[in-house]
Amino acid sequence: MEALNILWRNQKWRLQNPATLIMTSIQPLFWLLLFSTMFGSKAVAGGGQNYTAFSLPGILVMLVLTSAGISGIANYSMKTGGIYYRVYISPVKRSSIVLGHILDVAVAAFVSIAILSALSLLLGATVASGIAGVLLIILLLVLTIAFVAGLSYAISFLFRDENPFIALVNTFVMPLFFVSTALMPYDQVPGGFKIAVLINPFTHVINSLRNLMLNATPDWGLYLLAAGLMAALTVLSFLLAVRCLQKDEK
Amino acid sequence: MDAISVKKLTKTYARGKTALNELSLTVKEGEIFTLLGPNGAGKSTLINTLTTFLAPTSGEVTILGKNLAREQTYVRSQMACVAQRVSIDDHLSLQENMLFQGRLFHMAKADILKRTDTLTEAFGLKEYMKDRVATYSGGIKRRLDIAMSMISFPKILFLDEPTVGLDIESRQILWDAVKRIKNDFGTTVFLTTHYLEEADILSDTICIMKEGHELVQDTPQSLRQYTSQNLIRMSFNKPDMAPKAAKLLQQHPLVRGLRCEEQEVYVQVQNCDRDFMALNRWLSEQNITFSGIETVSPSLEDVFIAITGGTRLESSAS
Repeated sequence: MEALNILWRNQKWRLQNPATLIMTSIQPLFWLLLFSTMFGSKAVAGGGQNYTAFSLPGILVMLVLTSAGISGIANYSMKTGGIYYRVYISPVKRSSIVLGHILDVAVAAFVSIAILSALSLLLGATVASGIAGVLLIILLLVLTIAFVAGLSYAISFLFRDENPFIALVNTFVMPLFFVSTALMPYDQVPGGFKIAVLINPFTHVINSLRNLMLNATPDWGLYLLAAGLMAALTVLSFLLAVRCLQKDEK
Repeated sequence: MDAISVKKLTKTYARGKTALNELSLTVKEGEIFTLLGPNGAGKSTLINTLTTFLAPTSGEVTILGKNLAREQTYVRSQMACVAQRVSIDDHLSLQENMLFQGRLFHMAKADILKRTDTLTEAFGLKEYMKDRVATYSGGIKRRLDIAMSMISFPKILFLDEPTVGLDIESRQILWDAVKRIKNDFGTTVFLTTHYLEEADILSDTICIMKEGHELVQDTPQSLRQYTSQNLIRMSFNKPDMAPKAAKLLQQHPLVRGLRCEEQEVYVQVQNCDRDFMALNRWLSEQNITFSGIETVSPSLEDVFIAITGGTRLESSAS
C-alpha cells in the first residue's frame, strides 16, 4: 500500500508529462528500425530467422538499461523541492520508498516495451514459444528492470548533483549493450570479447529472451540461469538502495 | 509530559563542522515553542535531527516520552514538519496532495477527505480547491503545505522558518493559522524563525540559540527582564541625524550599548534615572538636535542583542 501510494504519485506526474515516455522509446525504436532494415535480408542470426525477432531482445534490454538506468535521477528532482524530506520523515518504510520507485520505473518501461513489441509485430516478429513464452519474457524483463532501477536509485546517493550521475550511467549503458549478444550470437563474437560478453549479466537475459522468441520449446536451463541471476542481483540492488536511503544525510 | 526533551545534543557533520553543541531544551505539550537565532545558529540542524532526518552525534532526545533513536517509526507517526522549501506537488491537485500525505501516514481515504474538509476550512483554502496548485501564490502554497502537514493529526508540528519570503499580509494570515493549530487542534508547535516580531507574537516559550548552543529559554515576558529597564530612546527629526548621533554616543562613557533604527537611537545605560539627565544635557551641549528622549521597556530585539552579545538578526519582520 505504501509503495502503491508512491507509485500513484509518480504516475500522476508521468501522465502529465507523456513526453518522457516518448523520449525513452525513441532511441530503441530507432535502433530496432535500423537493425531490421540493415540486417533484415542477411539473416545473420543463423537459420534465416526474422532479424527483428533476433534483435528485439537486445533492443529491449537496451531500453531497460537506458530507462531504468537513468531512473535514479528522480531522486535529484525530489530533493530540489521539499517532497523528498516530507516522504523521508514520514512513517513509511524505507523499503516501500524504493519499491515505489521500482514499480514506477517498471510501469513506464513497459509502456515503451509495448510500443517496441507492437512495431516488431508489424515487422514480422513473433514469439515462437506462445503465450507462456510471453509471460516468461515479461517476468524476466520485470526482474531486469527491478535490478537496474534499484541499482540506479542506490547510485544516485553517491553524487550530490545529477551531472556525474548521468555521466556514470552513460558510461556503462552502451558498453553493456554492445559487449553482449545483443547484435550477434555468442559464437560469432570475436575471441577477445567472449569473456567480457559472458561476464555481462545482460548477455544471459538477451540469450534467454531470444530463445523464447525464436524457439517453440523454451530452454529452461538458459531461462533459469538468466532469471536466477537477475533475481539475485535484484535482491542485492534492492538491499543496497534501502541501505543508501537509510544512510542518506545521516 | 514534555512534548520534546533534548539533553546535551551534539551534531557534528562528516566534514567536521559542529552545528549543535551540547544543546539542551524542553518543549511543553500544547505550547508554541520558538527557536530564535541568527542564520547558522543550528536551528535547521536541530529540526532535521528532531524530525529523524539527521542522526545526532551524541546526546539524548525524547519525544512524547519515547526515545528518538530507538522508536523512530513511532515518533515519525506523531509529528509532521513544514520545511523551509515548499514541499507540495505541483502536478497534484490540492485534494490529491492531501491524499498522498494522508496515505504516507496510513490513513483511510474517507478519513483523509473528511480531514481535508476541516483543514481547508480552517486555513482558508476552500476557494482554491478547484485551482491548479501550480498557479497558487507563495502564501497559499505555504498554507497548503501546513494544512498537508496537519492531515495526520500530528501531536507535534515543526515549522522551519515558515514565513520567510512572504509579504506582510500572507505572514499575518500564517500567524493566525499557527495560533489555530495550537488553540483549535491542540498541537504542539515547534517554530524556528529569525523574525523577532513573529517570535514575540506567537510564542509561549522562546529559546535563543547561538553557535549550536542554547543561551536562554523562557517566556517572552520573562526574557525582557534580562535587560532590566535601562533603555533610553532618542528621536530625531532628520533621518541622517540618528546615525551621526549614534556614532558620537558610542564614545560616551555612560553608554553600554546602542542600536539605531531609522530616526531613533536606543541607548543602553547602567542606571536610567541617573543617566537620562546626563545624556539629555550632553546632547544639548553637542548641539545635536533631537525631537524627543524617553526611557523605554526593552523589546525582544534588545533582549536578543543583550543575550547573544551583540549579534543582530539578519532581517526584521516588517
